[in-house]
Amino acid sequence: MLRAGPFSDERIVRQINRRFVPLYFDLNPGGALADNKARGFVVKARKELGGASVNTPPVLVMTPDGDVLGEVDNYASEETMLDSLRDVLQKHADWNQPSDDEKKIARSGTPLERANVLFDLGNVDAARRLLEKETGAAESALLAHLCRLAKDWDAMEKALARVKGGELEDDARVERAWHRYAEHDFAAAAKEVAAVGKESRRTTEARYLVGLAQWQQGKKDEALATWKATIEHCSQDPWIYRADWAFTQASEGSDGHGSFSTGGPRTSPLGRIGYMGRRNPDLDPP
Amino acid sequence: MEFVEFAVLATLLLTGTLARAADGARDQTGIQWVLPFPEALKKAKAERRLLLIKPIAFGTSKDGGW
Repeated sequence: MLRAGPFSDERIVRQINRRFVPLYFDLNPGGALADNKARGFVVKARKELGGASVNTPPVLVMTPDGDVLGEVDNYASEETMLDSLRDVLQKHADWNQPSDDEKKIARSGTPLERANVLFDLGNVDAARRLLEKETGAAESALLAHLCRLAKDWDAMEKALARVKGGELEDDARVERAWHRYAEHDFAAAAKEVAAVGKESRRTTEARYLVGLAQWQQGKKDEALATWKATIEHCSQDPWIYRADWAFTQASEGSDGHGSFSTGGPRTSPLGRIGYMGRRNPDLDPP
Repeated sequence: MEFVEFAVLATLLLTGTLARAADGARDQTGIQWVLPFPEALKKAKAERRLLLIKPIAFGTSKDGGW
């Protein structure tokens, strides 16, 4: 659930990659993804995690010296995780300094590079102000994306008017599809992304959205088939994890409210393990 | 079992699990995971960054399941 939820949220992925060194491992020393040095480091700080049976561990934010500066519950929402990570960075400014690469971009980077760093760090308003001065297609595509995330539809359409040609057309299709979806025009949303090709970097997002549009129209079997085919035929990425989350929960009962768990057979198409946590919020009406 | 044999066996078992996390199929969320732990620690120290650690308790599989 963590991977399908917060760890698949673009804002969180960007924040982590920009300011943290992320690591995962199996607490069980005999586990397939064990890392006993990591285990020793963590258990020294959190002795309760060294037992034979432990509660679901949180995500820990630690200094290289082993001090725990923050933690986020395993089942936290995307917003809670994002707030927690930014709170730790704000309270510990010495761990929140720009890298040499960032300094170089701030000095001599293109507006697109600078806007991406601002987006990574959650300074979306500054990124938008920077991009609004530009007229290029790539800059406009990123601006449209930021506007879409903020549900600022008029500004999004204004930016998309400057996005023409090549793969950026797929960006425009996907952003417009989310707009249609937000307006409950589910058929139009699916139609909008119909032209997004298999080779596009937005293809998994587009297919996920088609499944959601089908789900919202009460076409449960079609939605399940769309998500399953996407999971089976596309390379793994955040939207595949999200589709797996939707599939497993939508498979449970007619409304997707089932408490799915892989305690029994692993029925998640991706073979995920354990309790799948809270309901995928995308299954609710937009 | 003699103590020496036990110590060798224990060492083999331990070293065999030191870096399994790095050998399994990687998570593909887009997060740039740094595995195994010594590599992550080295990077965090060199770049003065905080470690973000997810200990997994539900079980894992070699194909990247968790």
